[in-house]
Amino acid sequence: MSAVIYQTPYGSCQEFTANLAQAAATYDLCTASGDVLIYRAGIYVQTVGATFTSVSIQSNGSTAWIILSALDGALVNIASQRSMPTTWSQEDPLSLRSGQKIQYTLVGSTGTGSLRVQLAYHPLTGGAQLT
Amino acid sequence: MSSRNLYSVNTADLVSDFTMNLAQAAATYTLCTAVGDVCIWGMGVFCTVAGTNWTSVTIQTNDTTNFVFMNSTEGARANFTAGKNVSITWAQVQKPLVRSGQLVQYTIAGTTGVGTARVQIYYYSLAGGDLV
Repeated sequence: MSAVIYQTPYGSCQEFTANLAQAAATYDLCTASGDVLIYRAGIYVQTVGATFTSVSIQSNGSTAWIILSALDGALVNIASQRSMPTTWSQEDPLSLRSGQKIQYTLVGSTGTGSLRVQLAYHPLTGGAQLT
Repeated sequence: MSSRNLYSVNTADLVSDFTMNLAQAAATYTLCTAVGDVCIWGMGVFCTVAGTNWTSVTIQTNDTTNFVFMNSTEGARANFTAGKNVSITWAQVQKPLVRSGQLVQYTIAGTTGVGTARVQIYYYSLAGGDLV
């Protein structure tokens, strides 16, 4: 058995915007360029939600890692200037391999709204980041 | 479709220490102001001068849907003993964004008394944002 020791720099923080004014579908929030370890997430309602039913945020791994469930992302919770709780406990970090994505899924009719999503992570390979 | 902003890559987490003056009349006071956007991920509250007379103190943002870091139960006067950390139960599943110009405030309830607490705020700077 061998172990690879990653000497990572301090955490990086990137912010992405989820556009909720789109038709029901799954959209990319970001993609791992190199392996990263996501260890914190923040979600802030930039524009209050209307009309759609729910939004969820998850990885696209074969076993998706749920950051925000459709229940927690129900329209009623997309309130003005709200810092939203994540479904993810944020106790265990999420490993996102190079090429994998964080995606968000809209359900229901096309409406309005936007979320600002902050992701803090450690790059596990040189120059790895979320793009 | 989504858009991306890249901030603070390979920079350290930031921490700032603010003083909460509890020897004031019941009202809401500003603890700090965001100059540029920041994402807060941790907070510590340490009592330096024990509280007397007032009933409770809370800490929250001034957003329309405000985010409460410390509620009135956690901030009850009995929990403010000199030299002790005040336990707050802020769920770590929420990492509030404080937009530029928004405030972190504290609200004193009850009769004017005495007391002082230091509040350490841990955060990420987004696009050079800071707490002042």
